[in-house]
Amino acid sequence: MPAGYGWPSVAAADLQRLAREFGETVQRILNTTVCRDVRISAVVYEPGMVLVGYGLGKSSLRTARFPVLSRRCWLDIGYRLRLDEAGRHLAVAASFMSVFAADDDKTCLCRFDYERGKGEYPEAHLQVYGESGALASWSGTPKRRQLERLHFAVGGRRYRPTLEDVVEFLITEGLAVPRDEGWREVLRTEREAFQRIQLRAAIRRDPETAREVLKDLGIS
Amino acid sequence: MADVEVIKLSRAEYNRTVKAELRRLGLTYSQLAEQARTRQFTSEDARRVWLAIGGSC
Repeated sequence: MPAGYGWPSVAAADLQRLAREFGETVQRILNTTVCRDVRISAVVYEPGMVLVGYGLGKSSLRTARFPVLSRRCWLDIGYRLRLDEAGRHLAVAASFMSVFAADDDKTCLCRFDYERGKGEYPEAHLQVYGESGALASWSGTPKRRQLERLHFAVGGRRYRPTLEDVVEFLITEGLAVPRDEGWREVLRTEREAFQRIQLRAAIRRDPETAREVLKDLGIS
Repeated sequence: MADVEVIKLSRAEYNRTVKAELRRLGLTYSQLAEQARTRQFTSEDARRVWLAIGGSC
């Protein structure tokens, strides 16, 4: 999931249910891989908008950091979603997934960031915090030589990194400890479900190509 | 596993909370939008508030 859009068809009145389902998926992925007992909240407001993250409440629209198991690092994850034009599916309008060190200052390591409709940098991008010898020796003053000011493109709107990708990155790079051996199966299952949703959304957007593929397969 | 809490805000409640968040940041919506335009936020909280209110005003 959570690059996510194209949730199951429902009436607009079911926005709260859609918000809950999206939040449950985020919570399930976290609590069955690198976290325990993280509780995700969703804030629903008009017109058809949803915020999903940790630490949200009636008086605070700001997400908060939370630790992974063994407190190897901290995460901050937030999604802003809206109903699509048909009022039937939730689409992610903006999101971030930030990884912080477990030091006293909670230094940011990197951030997977997405916001629709940006012109000055890629909608989906990665920002990495740290020193860069290459940038330091670059001619001119590219982005004032600060690594975190570069926006590395990561897959665009359709193929941007998901929460599953971030969890896998954390575990395989030793930045987080998996809850148990089942984390690969969790990610596989969640990815399959998400990819089906994405495929449905892609077909809705381009049914002609879908028809051509079915015809090539001998399915009319 | 605990249920996901879903909080519903009326338009008036949302507007009040947005104003309070901007006041806490010490920024106007336009100033925060400019930070978002260049993706150079002055704080983590500014980034978090933009996620919540971007495109809403």
